[in-house]
Amino acid sequence: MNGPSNTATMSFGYVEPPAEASHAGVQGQWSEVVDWPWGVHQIPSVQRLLSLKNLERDWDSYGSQPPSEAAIAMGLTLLKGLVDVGLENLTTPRINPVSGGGVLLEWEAGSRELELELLSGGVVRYLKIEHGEPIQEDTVTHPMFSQMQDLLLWLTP
Amino acid sequence: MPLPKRDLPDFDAPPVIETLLGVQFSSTKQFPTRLYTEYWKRIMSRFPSLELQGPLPAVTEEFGRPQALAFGIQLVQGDESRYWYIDESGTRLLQIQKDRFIHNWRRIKDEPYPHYDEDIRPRFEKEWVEFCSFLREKGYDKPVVNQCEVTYVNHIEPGEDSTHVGDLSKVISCWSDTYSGHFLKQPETITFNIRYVMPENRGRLHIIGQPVIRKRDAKQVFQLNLTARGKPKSSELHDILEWLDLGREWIVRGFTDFTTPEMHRLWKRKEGL
Repeated sequence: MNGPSNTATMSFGYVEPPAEASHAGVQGQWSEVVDWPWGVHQIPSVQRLLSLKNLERDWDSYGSQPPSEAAIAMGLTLLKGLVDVGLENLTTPRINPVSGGGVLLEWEAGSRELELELLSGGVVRYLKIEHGEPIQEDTVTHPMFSQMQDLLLWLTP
Repeated sequence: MPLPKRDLPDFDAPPVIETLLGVQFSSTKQFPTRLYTEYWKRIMSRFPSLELQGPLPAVTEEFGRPQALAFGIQLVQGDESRYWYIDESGTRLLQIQKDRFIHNWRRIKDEPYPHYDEDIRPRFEKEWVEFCSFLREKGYDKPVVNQCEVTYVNHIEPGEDSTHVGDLSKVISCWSDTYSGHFLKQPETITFNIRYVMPENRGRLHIIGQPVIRKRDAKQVFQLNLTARGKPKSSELHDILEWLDLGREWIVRGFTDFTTPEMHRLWKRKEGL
């Protein structure tokens, strides 16, 4: 599989989605909610992702901010997109904050592991691991969702 | 303008987390960007933050004829954005766009619900009157109001004995969790969109239910939105308020009918109301 291209022009979710998209139900609703077309088993991942926003400043004792809205929005887009491509049954990712305002999502499937580090400004760093050994890593700016999808599909050959 | 006395059901701890009172209108002149920014200067002491959002599409309750289709070319000259003027507490919002004026209250922590009669209605009235006065000063005609809207957003949190959002029979009075047979089990998720026509086609009450995850605390809740929308008799303030009162009455009575006595006890329904 080819890795994501660094020349992608279309971003996926690094831009905060239009307000209305995250205010389900009613026109003009202000309170922010996430509705879910995804399965119930994904709810804990969504909750984990959202809860990272409430971390205290300096949560890592190195002065870091909590994960940015953009990184969390990108994570939500990614989780939501899994349903569209039939990957909703992928193992639940480990989700953790990253110093500097990012979010790390890690999947494990058999001998393969995938780490996606979602950073502010639409930058994604990924690392593929097989049999415990790193085999590919790259940094992509404003990746297309299909590129992320390809990475995830690598987990389920 | 005083609120006519109505004996409506009342709750000490209602699950409402947001209210919207708004009007949709037409204006003979476009709203340029400077109009919104000048208005912000006027209300900045109450609404110190400004944000831009995409415009809301126009929505009109139609009766007796199909929804009108709009053809033709629209020349966009004014500012199409929706301006959000936010108060310091983050609980009050004014939304203004070329054809909308909405006042929101939302709960962000444990603030008590500010009641309609004492707070929500008078605040809307004050802000709308001030906005119309501002438009007049700037040489604009009085907005022609074609729809009024009242919305209450409720968040129903699963109880300790009911952790699954599909268990709605305890909340919704007309919902049954029994089936004719034994094939289907508990649903994974439930969403619904129900509407009722108000007498004399004065508008509609929409009830929308859907499971959501609340962003501020990542909590899983069932969101029950009640929206009443319809056309006031005129664009005069008393007719706008009369319609908003009617819409709010439909929401309160509708909410009470739609939910179970068991939940009313939990939300501390007042005796005799």
